[in-house]
Amino acid sequence: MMTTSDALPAEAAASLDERPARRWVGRAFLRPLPLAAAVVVLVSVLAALFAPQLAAFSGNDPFTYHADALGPDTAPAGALGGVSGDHWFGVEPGTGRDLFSLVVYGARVSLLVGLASTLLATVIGVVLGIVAGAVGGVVEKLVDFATDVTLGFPFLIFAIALSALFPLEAPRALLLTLVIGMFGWPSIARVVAAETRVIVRQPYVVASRVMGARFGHVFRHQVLPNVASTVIVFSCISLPGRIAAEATLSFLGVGMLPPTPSWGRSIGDAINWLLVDPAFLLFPAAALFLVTFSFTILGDTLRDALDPRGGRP
Amino acid sequence: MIPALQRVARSLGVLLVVLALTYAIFYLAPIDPALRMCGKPCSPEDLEAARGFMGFDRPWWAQLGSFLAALVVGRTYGSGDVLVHCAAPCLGYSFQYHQDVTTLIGERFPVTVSVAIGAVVLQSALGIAAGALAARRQGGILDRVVTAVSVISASAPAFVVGLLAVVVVALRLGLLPSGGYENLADGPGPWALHLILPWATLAFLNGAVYARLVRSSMIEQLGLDYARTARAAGLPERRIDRYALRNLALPLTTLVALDLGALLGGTVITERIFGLPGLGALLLDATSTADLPVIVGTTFVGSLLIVLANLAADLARPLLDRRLAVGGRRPATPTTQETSS
Repeated sequence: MMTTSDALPAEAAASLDERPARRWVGRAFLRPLPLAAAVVVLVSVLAALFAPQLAAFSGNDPFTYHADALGPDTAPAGALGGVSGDHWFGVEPGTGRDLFSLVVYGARVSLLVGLASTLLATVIGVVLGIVAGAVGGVVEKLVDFATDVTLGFPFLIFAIALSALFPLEAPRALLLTLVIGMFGWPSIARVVAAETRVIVRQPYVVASRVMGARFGHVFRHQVLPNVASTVIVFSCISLPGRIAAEATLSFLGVGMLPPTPSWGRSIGDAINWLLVDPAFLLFPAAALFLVTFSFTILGDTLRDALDPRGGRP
Repeated sequence: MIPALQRVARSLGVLLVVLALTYAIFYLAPIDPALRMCGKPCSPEDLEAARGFMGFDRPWWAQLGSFLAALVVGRTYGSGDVLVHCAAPCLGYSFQYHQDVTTLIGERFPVTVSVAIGAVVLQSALGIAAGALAARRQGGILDRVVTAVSVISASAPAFVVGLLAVVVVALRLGLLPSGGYENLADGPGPWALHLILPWATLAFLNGAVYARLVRSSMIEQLGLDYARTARAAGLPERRIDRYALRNLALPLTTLVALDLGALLGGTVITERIFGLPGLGALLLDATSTADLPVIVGTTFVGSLLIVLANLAADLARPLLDRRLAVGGRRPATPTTQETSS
């Protein structure tokens, strides 16, 4: 019976033996910073999942106005934006809504839009990239042109302009996901196309094509597994940017609309209260920064673990 | 020369498709700018007249054709005795501001240019210096600080950084004005004073990209044979640094061009935070009043600047690296995706 290395040419078999045993990827995360980042991400995911329970546990919800927690100038009464046993993060100035509940519920929108748009961008990018790289010719040129066109759109400006079109009752989270996802695929498509171009010229792929393998088979069993690690790293690295994109649009007043809690919109509201109640900025901004920062750390760690040689820009 | 022409043609194609898509999307939109112009009560005849006056009664491709023609020869709206003229290059006419979009954008553009150019100068200077110093003392304190700052700035959302700058520097310490814009014509002092915070914010956010790029490329360059030979020949380290940096001219030029294009197209976030009346502010106002001609015009200008910046970077490549002019292999160039302006 032949082992794998018997079937390979001599040099390839030798290099197979020399290759160090693949280390468990998770090891890279067992350092203080990635661990802390993982904890933050876990906490934010749990907060998003159990937002109603958490808010109820603190004795509040994100929609009730607490006029009694506000001073005469409608700024929160008390220090640090009205932090107290009743309102753990204080209250929103002007309305008196519980800020802890707003922040906890805000995690839902941020993570949902961030993850869903990344998924959308990744699927579009991988499919277009593999098709372009594998088919080549006119198709590749078309995908390349589509990439140029997408990158030629001023994303932020176009996203803002688009928001003027949506009626107020449209599902904003879905629209934001679509807009952010539709503009996010070019970078993934380019990388995947470049890798696919190399993979489909490998002898084992050519051999299986000769043996009659269909495109679908090559796609699923030969190309996809080979581009998987790149795709995973790319989507992880781009995730914080997309969370920030949702927050940015909400901050500018063209993303999530009231009364849906969103970190970006809370921060945007905080502009008008910077002089009287700077603490209002603190909690939503800290939540947003911690989550994007942690996802960045996890993405960088994953990249270094899967591709220890290169990748650092 | 031929590849350059091809490149220009491709850029024009991209621009045209972007514009056509923009037009198609906004034409399909469920909002009618004529409704706002027609007044109340609005009879169907009045509405139809308003649509005809504004040129919204024709199919979207015909409107797109008029838009393109107006860029070259100008355009006249209306018919009979009520005429509104819009001189070339005409980007459309805002019936809410009662002014042509070209003038509106022209009024706001100096603000955005001031922000963008200052920011690009500051971020490239700081980023390149930090990256080069970090590469020189790899693993040292400065290197670690630069790396840490670049991770933080790469993940910090632009508006959070900007707002923190306003709260701390302007409101708490009172060192700088928290916002507003002074015309450069009224003296460079107040102009620069009002722009320091916007520049610094953008430089902090984008400078990290330069620092990372310069750091890793410098480390690579200083390990190459020519650097070793130069060192063996007794050349001062400063001189070797200069050789190494020269080899980074290509990716850095690309980066500067792309950043400049993206920023000139609208520093929306920065303008909102610091209350600057630039292109981004114009767009946000137009969005809230559904002023379609302004929206399409700003999108077009933003896209034009991005495409032009890409084109400029591509055309500059053979000039910076003669190997490319004679058909050598293209070295990898950085690509950036900007959402943080």
